[in-house]
Amino acid sequence: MVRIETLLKIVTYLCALAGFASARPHLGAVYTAGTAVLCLLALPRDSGKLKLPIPRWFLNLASVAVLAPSVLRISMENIVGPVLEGLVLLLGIKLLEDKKTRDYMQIFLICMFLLIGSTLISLNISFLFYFIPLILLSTAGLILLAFFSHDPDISIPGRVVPKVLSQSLFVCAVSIPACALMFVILPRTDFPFFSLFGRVEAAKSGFSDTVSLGDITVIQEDPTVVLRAEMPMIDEKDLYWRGVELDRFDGVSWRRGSERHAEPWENLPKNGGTAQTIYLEPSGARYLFALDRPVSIYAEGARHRKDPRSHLWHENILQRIRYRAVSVASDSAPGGDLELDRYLALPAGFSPRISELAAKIAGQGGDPVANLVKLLRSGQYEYSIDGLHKSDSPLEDFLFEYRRGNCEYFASALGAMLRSVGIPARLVAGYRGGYYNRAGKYYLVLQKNAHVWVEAYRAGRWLRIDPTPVNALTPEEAYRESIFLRVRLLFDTFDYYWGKFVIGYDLARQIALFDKVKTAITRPDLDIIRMRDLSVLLAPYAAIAAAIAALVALMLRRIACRPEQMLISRFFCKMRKRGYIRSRGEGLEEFSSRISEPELKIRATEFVSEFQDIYYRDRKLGAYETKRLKSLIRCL
Amino acid sequence: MIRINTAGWLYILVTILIGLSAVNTGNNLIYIIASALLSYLVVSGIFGRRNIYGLDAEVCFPQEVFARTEALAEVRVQNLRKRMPAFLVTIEVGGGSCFFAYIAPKSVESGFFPVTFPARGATELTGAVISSNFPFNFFKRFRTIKKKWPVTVYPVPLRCSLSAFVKGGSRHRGERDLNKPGYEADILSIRDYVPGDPPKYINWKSTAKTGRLKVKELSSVERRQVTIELDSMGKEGVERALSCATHAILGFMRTGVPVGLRIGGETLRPGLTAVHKRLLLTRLALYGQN
Repeated sequence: MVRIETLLKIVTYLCALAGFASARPHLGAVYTAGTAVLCLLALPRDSGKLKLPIPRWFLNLASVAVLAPSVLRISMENIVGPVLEGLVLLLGIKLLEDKKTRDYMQIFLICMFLLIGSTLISLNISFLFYFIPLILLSTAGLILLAFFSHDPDISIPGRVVPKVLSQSLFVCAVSIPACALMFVILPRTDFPFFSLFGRVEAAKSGFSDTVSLGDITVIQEDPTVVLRAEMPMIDEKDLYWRGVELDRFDGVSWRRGSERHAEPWENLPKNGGTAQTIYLEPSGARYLFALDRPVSIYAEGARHRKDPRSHLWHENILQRIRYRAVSVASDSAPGGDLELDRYLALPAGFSPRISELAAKIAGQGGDPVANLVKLLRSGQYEYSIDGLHKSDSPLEDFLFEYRRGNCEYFASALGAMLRSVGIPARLVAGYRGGYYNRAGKYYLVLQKNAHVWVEAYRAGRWLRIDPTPVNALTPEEAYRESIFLRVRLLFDTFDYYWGKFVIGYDLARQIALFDKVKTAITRPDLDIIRMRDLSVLLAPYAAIAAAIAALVALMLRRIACRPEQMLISRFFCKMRKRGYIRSRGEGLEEFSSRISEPELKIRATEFVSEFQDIYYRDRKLGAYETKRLKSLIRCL
Repeated sequence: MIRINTAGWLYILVTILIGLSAVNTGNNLIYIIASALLSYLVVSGIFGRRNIYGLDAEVCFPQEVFARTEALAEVRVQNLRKRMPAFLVTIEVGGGSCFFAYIAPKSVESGFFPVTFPARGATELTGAVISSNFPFNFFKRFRTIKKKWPVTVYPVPLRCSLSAFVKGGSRHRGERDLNKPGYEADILSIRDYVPGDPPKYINWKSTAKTGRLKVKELSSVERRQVTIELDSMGKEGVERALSCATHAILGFMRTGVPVGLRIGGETLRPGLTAVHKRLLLTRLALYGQN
């Protein structure tokens, strides 16, 4: 016999572990250690190895003492963190108690709240790794709790334990479709009241709208996902994800000017341009990215920006957002009437050495822009993200001294030199390249793809110029050569669909879905063709599913049937094929006696005789007997 | 019928709160948790209903049930389903209840519960209520099995003087030794073995002493018969007389005295079998009832 309380305690501890693990990434070290100590104290106490009587009133006081500082630490900027930290300590204290039914309920509840708290900080797919075990364990725990609440000392036979636990799996399996339906139909709003949650995750992002030379960052080694763009695969050289334009140069850094002027729209080409659906990870800033050059950016259900060229979201992006963009893959765009001063401005006391160099190179004949790019790409300057020197005049040091730098140095150098020779120029910060996921049909862009390039104004158009030498592998080459990258992209596919279908399911999608269902119900004729296509598409999968279901049913039947029944039904099946059908209520000997073919009759009688000898004498059907009877059936 | 337990109310409250949090935050992960909690409400309702359906109950009483005396009735629960077991089933009948933690598919489990009937006569227990709080302790589902289980309750046995009712050697209850050989009572003598004597009566001690086979010679007994006459009893003391007669019948039967009964103008001849005893007690139980 197995005590239900023992099982319940095991499940409760596992549940607490899952709840704790879900909140762990957002907890301070003190709280993690505190909870671990409480759990380590509770475990031997619950298993009876440690006799440590702790009065309930003391633990209740301790709970209040733990919660009070957490409540006091709550602020508008940080609501979830202190609550989570208070809850984990409370969980540890609850585990220490001599547990009654309500205590177990409270522990399951705390675990659920810990998971909810962690979802307010992170929307990552890792949620599923905590949610699924937590749901399974809570279900098993609640079923055991139903036994426990009837009688705390109840025990059940060992053979019943798997049946009880399998019920929890069964409950979970039945709940999945109900849960999916509820998820789809539960009411949603476009303006949540407490959308302030999620700031912690947003702060992790690293894109900056300022290019400061010498202020070295590790952004170019950061594998964090920035965006995913659902679109067809395009030429590698056109993969520039435009973000923010930087036009103010102070000698060390480039910034975005505060006032903007409208630039004319690029005409949409006849082929309709390149449409993208972009899933942008939270950055904490307002910048939207799209393939250079974007013609339009449109976000469903969001307020529109007044200046389409500014690519700004209506508020700081604190959660993953989705928008559509249409771009024209071109390295030039119309510039319109320019405020030339803005794009020619150089700081007072700008390095005369740089001006001289620029004038000298630009004046070598031919296109001055091409000459300056040629200088930077001639091999005299090396691309590097390591060992960059920090100084007060980083541009001069880069051009004349160290001759190595990252894309910020190359772009800044070209931008400043163009301005010094009277060509309007600006920097554009964004991302370069991306890894195309063929399964999901989208580009994955990481922080390490961050890039800065130059736009020069020539003959009424802005020309995209990338002075950074291409030394490293292109993303496509890297994909082909790195198994790790391929695996990463494979896993990212799940994350992508998770974001697309789960995180991105909002009011607009809900309304669209309801409209589709309504249309399908009221005018099903409209979708007949599509349904036919769909049925053709799904037919193979349905056939495979049916085959698996039939196989499982057959196996279950085999398990449920006694071996004697299996043998006798196989015998009758074989005889049916030979033209002899057993009539209702007919005995085995009676059946075999009416077989007209002499040889078959002898063999059938032999089988019947041996079978009856086992069956009616209550002899156990062993392996040898089974083999023998099967061979007799085969000989029929 | 369904009743929501305290844990159920708490669960509903928490589900509503989490649902509101989901709407207020627009966080789809909280929507998933709220959806799971809601779907569990639905699923627990389905599982709870399924758990108590497909069960049948029968109540069996002991052969002798006396008024105002606690007896143990047996409840047999049959799980008629082929594959699905039943868990945490409670059967309530006639104020008593039995709990079954697990009932395997296509099997019968039995339990016992104490039952006390206030008066003699033919009576019955009606309807068994099957209840369960499976799968979670949120709801308790009930189902009534509309069946009747009849039972004849014998009068409560009461020790009292039998002189007024008993005829036929009332003062000499039981058996009396006759000084004649037989195989039932005390040893009369030890004699030589005669072929045909049952071997179990061989006295091995005497055989060893004498070197000849010796057997024990036992005396035979005479059984007396008694008949309890209840027709002479007055109407005022009927219940007491029936109780006394019940006690007497049980006592005589236990000591092996055949008992007969004269009641309501009918005479039941003395007998010693269990069936005869139940017949007499049933007559007493049903006396004065249609």
